[in-house]
Amino acid sequence: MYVPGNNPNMMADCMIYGADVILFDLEDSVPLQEKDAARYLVEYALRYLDFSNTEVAIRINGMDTPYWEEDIKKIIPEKPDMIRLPKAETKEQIKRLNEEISKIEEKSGIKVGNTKIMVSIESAKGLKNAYDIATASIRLQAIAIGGEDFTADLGVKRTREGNELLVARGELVLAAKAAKVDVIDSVFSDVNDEEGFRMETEKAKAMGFTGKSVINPRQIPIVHDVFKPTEEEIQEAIKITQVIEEAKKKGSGVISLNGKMVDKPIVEKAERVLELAKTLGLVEKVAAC
Amino acid sequence: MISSKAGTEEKNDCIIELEALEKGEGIEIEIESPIKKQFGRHIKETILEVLKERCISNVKVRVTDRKALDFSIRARLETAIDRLGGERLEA
Amino acid sequence: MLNAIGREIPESLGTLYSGHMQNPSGRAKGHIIKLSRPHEDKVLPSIKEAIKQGGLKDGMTISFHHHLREGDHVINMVLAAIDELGIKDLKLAPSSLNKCHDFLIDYIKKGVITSIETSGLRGKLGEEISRGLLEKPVIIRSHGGRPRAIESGELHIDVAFIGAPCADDMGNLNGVDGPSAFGSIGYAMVDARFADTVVGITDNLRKYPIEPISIPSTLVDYIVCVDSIGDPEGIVSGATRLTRSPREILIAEMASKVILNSGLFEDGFSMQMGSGGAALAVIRHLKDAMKQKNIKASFGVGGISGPYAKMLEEGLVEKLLDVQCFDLQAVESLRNNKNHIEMDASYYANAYNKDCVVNNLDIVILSALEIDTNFNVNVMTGSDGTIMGASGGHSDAAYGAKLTIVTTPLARGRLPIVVDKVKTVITPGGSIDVVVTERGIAVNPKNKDLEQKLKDAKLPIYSIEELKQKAEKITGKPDPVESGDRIVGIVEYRDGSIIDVIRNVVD
Repeated sequence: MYVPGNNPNMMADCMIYGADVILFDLEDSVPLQEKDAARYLVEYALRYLDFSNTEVAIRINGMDTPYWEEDIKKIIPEKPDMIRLPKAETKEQIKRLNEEISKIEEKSGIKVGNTKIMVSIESAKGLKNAYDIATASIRLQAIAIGGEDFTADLGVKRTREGNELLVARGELVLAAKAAKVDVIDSVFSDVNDEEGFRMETEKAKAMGFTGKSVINPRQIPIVHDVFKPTEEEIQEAIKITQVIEEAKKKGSGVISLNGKMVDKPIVEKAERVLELAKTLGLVEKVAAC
Repeated sequence: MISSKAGTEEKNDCIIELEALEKGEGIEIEIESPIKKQFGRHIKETILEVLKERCISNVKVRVTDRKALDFSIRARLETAIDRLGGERLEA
Repeated sequence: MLNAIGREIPESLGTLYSGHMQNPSGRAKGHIIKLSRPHEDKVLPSIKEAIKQGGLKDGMTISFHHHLREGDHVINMVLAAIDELGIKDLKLAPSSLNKCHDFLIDYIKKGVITSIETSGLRGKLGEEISRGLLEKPVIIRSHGGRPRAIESGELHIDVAFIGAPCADDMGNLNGVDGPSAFGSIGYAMVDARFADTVVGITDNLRKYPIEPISIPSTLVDYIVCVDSIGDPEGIVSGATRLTRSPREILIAEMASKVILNSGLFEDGFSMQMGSGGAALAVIRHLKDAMKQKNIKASFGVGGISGPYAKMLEEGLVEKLLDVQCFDLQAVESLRNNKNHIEMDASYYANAYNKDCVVNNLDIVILSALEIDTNFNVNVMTGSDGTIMGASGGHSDAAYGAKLTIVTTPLARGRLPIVVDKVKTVITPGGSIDVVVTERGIAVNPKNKDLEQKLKDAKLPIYSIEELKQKAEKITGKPDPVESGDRIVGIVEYRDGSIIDVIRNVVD
């Protein structure tokens, strides 16, 4: 969930609504003359607020601005889980960002590599380089699409149905899957249109997105509901992990369930399903397999 | 007169205004807050702490508080110090 | 001397709260018996005339209801007339007071009013009284405690002034018709039965007899017609909107889960809702569960507002018992739906009746300005001791209900709501079962079964001490605010014993 980095009122409460990741924003929601103030607010929010199990990410300013370097200098020492880079266009940018972060981590006594990155693709050029960007650093966990800026780049209007972004979304998903990173769908700005939001979220899930950005706590339960694994999927996943366990104990090489081979992709999918189910509180802690 | 300002009038925020003073004039703190009785002392201590960390000994601080939490007060003060010229104020 | 919940009370003030409901003794006191003659005209030309004929003298007690809320004109009109007549040293005993009553400060300074007994005190009036404006301490009573005191004779009302949206010339009154309609006239019904003189003040005089008759003409001495008894915008809101605040919605969700897992959510349950954002938002969740499980509530109690009236309409609740209406939808419902039933404050909450509604409640949702680690609740004063709220039906409903839930944010602004010791106790901790905040739930240790049920339902359960620490971690620990030595308010528990005192605010 996006939280403007210059709004102390929203920052104080943001972690209670069940968002998986809080995304403090230093970029678009912060006016130029307040960039310095927002940096301090985010720095101290990280230091003094209790986020318990919620991950915290910071959207820094784009690398085409003079602000991003000061952003990471101030924020990395407070150990956010992730940095979100907007307007990613080339793999060189990612490599540079990676280097700068590493320098700061070292200087601050943080394990190098501790801070993860996600990027937002907001232009056609960025999309063309999506795979290279996604594989440019081991820090990189996810790529996302920035719908508003992308449609601006395309020179078209953003619509509720979203057909103008169909290709971009599709290509982004392909790049993400090939690079084995998560792929996050864009925000839906009409907070009162819960039906439209649900439709867009369902479409995103169907296309292969693994998450969605939100701008209001009301949108969180909808995302969780759309992305939650079904009861059948959970039961299937549990069975698969059990079968793997048994096979390991017996030392057998080939594993099958219901006459089908259980190979690596199936195991990985089962693990993902159970992880998601656990996060959403749908199952008790599952024994590691 | 060198002065600076940071923060907003929004709920749970505060406005911090700084005015650089001459060497030897010391630190003056003025706090306006609807919860002054409960947190006035704490706000003053927080401000003194930050000023000490930033090595500032001669400044007038005016706080217009709207029930800001600690992290906001610190952030606003640090921002105001930077905007005033930061290290130029060292005693 | 410490009372049963550890509050320091000077013994000379009266019986201290013992931790239990005192047993009553004696008889109810009545009003003076009068003769009415046939075809006698009760309609008087002015309030001044009614005051004169009613025989109001220095040192007497006058009463009002608070159904006109922030739109009230009646108290102002009556006091202006009293002042013109030069009457002084009166005790003011309204069922409650609102921010629009700040003008009383002047009448107090002038000596027209020298003592106040009420459920609530707000605005500048509350601030000034907290500083010591009145010589005699204000007496704070709950919605059930006030009828108790009136019926026992402790609070003797000489003249009751009843603002009535609809009246006939023989003195029948109701609250549901007319431009200033406010619905149930429940608080005034008690005054009418026990006051020596009853003056109905209306802006809507109709032919005898009106229908419905909420206060019968048998109790009313005089009627006065005025241009307007109140401002409709300040009396009731058009419609109560369910809150959009994400924090209140979250609290409501958690409170609903407590109810759903309490073991009390069964067909035929009964419930009282507050009027606060979170309490009403609970309705949304409960409705879904009720439809799913085919559960109907046998009755709902309030303070009724539109969302609750809608439940009646939809058949999710069979009856509503109503002591006051908060919006026009509720007024409409009271007027038109025979299952929406008006009740008076004594029937609602007076413990010294052979029954009162709160004794039959399963679930009640209440709010809090502060709650301490003994679960004592303050809905009266800020943490600095300024009087800014009302006792209301809080302690009554909390006592009677099987499950009392307090919904509150963990902190408001930078002030923690969960504290070591509340500034003023209105409801003792023994009546409170569960506290629901946006960051966790605490269950009163006396409810081990309930706590286990809620833990089994995977709700975030903490000890009240842990909630307090959570609050302090967010806000920092506030410095305690010292009060003066002068007692400016006496808080009576619903049985007339003294549960707390309010000491003056020092700057």
